[in-house]
Amino acid sequence: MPTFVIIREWKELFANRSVLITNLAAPFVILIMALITTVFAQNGKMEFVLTLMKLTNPLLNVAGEDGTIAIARFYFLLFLIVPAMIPLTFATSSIITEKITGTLESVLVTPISTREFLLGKILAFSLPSIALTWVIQLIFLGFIFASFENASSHFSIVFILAMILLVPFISIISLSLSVVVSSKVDNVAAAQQFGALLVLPIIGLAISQVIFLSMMSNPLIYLGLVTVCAVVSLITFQISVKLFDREHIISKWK
Amino acid sequence: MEHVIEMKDLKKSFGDKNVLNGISLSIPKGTIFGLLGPNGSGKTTTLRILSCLIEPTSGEVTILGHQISKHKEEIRKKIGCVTESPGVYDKLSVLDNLEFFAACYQIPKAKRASRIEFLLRQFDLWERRNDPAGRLSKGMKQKLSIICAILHDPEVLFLDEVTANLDPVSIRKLKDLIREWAASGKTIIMSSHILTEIDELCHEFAIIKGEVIRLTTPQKFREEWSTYNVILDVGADLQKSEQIIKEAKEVEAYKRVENQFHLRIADPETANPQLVKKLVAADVTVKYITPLSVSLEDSYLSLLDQEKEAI
Repeated sequence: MPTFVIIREWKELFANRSVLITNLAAPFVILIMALITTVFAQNGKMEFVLTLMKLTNPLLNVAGEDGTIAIARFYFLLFLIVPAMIPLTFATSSIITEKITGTLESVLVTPISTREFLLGKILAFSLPSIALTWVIQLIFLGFIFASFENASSHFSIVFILAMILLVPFISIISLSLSVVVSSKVDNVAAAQQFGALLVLPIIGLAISQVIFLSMMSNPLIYLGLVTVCAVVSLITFQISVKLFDREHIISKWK
Repeated sequence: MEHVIEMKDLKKSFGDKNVLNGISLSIPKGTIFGLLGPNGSGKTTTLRILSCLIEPTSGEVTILGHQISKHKEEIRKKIGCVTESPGVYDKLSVLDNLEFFAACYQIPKAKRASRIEFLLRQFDLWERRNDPAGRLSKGMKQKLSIICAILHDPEVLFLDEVTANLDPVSIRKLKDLIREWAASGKTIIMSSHILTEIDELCHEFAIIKGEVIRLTTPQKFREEWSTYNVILDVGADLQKSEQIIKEAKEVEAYKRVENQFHLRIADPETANPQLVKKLVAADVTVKYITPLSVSLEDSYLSLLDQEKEAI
């Protein structure tokens, strides 16, 4: 475990407090929106939104659930964007900034392996976002169980576990893809744009599949989904190590 | 003689651009070896291959008995590399930077603190150990970058334009250290545009331009490339002296430089007294006659001019 890479990245992150606070605030904004919308829905003030949701997502009708539950569940799923998006901003610029400032060359001449270096970077950015997502998931879960009478019948243990377990895998997939992008482009702006372009649709697709599956009640589907995400996260990490082309980065980037 | 670095027909191309066209060099242990060459001649590419940062297109490199194509990790543990721009983390303190690189070089935790303190004191950075590296001057950052590269006490050190940002006092100190390192058996390969540095420090150097165009020592190179090797001052007797110099068989070539003559004499030890005799016999006052010292820079520029003409 390359803890020294993780600690170094964290020290740099904490030294850049304004960017850090801005990014950490975003998940809590989503949480506040989720709490307000669910309270409004419980008080029958979200009919328009519910109608719109049913129009755009016929599955809601198929599921035949209570609209308020659907909204709460939707936000629960929306939280999965946090581990995908928050670390992306830092990760994509991280490798390129290291190249520009010359630190990458200094690090790559040391005996540190590509695997150690990338794993350290990915964990440094994913661990805080995973913890943050779990915090907002738990707060929201607490709210749901406190305010819904039959919460456990709508939010099964398997569903909750799946949502929690998906967080690290989604984060690792997103970060591994961003490393691939960072390895192939030659400036920060391009890395962030390409990163968002590549990662967002993939994560979006994954989340939409989760939303689709969330309408199903079979717990095996959730477990299957978590397993698939775990395997994909391992594969994307291996790909990112394979595609991290030291020579291209050292000699081509300006 | 034990050779620490062996390069055999080293070639490197980026796309269709050939940067190295076959470099072969053997560098003995304890040597300070210089790499000279104009911009784009392949100095940095050579150092990057030796530092295991990039792969050669063909050819073989052996460092400390390890083939670079097979044992990169082993080699990386035994080499240090300092690049022209200081590769340190600006947001981290000096100590944090060093802790990080010490971990990268797998230095045991128990040894880190004493090694870091020793080097920080040696490079006059101990007082600034808690400052963020970004607040250091360029020269101090360069020192920090050097410390990062030698933390693990490497056997081979690559220095790429390493004195670029240092003040004269620090340059002098670094030169002394480089000599000390070499005396203790370490091998140093340095590229520099500052020819006096190569002249003062290097035991041997190569001028490269995609390939090795000269492999020599600073002393030999100066001798080889000095057109004029004797300087003669005759005060005011310039015209009479020039006539004698022109006719003297000891003088192969000459040129007038203000009130002096620069002469090319094949065997100055025996020829100089004869020439002086002739001048004195003609009532010329010889103020002095002395060997003309040619700088490495003059010699290097002469060689590059010749190369240009050849093209």
